[in-house]
Amino acid sequence: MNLYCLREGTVLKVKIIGELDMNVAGSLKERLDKEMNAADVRHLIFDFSELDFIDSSGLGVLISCYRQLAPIGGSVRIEKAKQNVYRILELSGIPKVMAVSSEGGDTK
Amino acid sequence: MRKDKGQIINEIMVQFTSLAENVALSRVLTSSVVTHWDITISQLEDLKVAVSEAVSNAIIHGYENQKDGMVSMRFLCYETYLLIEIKDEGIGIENIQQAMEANFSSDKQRMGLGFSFMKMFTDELEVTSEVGKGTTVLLGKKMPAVKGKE
Repeated sequence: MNLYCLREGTVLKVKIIGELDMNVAGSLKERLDKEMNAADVRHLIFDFSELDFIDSSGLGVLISCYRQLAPIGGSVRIEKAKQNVYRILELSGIPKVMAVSSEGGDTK
Repeated sequence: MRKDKGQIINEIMVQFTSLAENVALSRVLTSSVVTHWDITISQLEDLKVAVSEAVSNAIIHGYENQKDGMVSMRFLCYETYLLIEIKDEGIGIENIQQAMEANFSSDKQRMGLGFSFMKMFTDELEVTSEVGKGTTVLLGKKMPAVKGKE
């Protein structure tokens, strides 16, 4: 997994390339925590256009970010999810708490 | 679960250490084995998620993230069915029914979706476990006719 972070004010944009499973979930969360603690980040936008796989360990990271940001008025948004990743997000109920859009522009 | 599936055409068994990086390996193995059938990308993706969850469970819960356990994966290929057995010799599950409930997790940081995904993405799921001895998960998935045999 490769990770690119870009901070713009209170918004942190994160692009994840590769696969998001238990092998990388821990280091991803650590890196995100570091980025979020270094600045006054309130909103997290994930670019999933190059994320090929996600399972429940990866979803755990998304939920944990949401739990961190929601109480301080923040948000988590997922953009450009590939069809297989989008399906997993949908089935997990994630779109109930965060905005999710697919690479084709479908939104939940 | 093995009854009424007909004759086993191919059987593959692989063992690996309970390292987190081997979860990706388990998905690659699954992808390779299913090339035997004409399955769609979406069916393959389903199976990869189910396998990923089962192997992650073995490592995270079975071996409590200890890196010296062994996880075994056995693929039983029938004409139009695939059985994948994922076995660990870890701590076992005391209450399987509770463990399989959606949103239940022994770890509060986790979503408790593992077994739900395994159920969702397979046609059959069987879990057997003995405390102190380990857990065996059987994932069953219907497969289309073998390439070139139609």
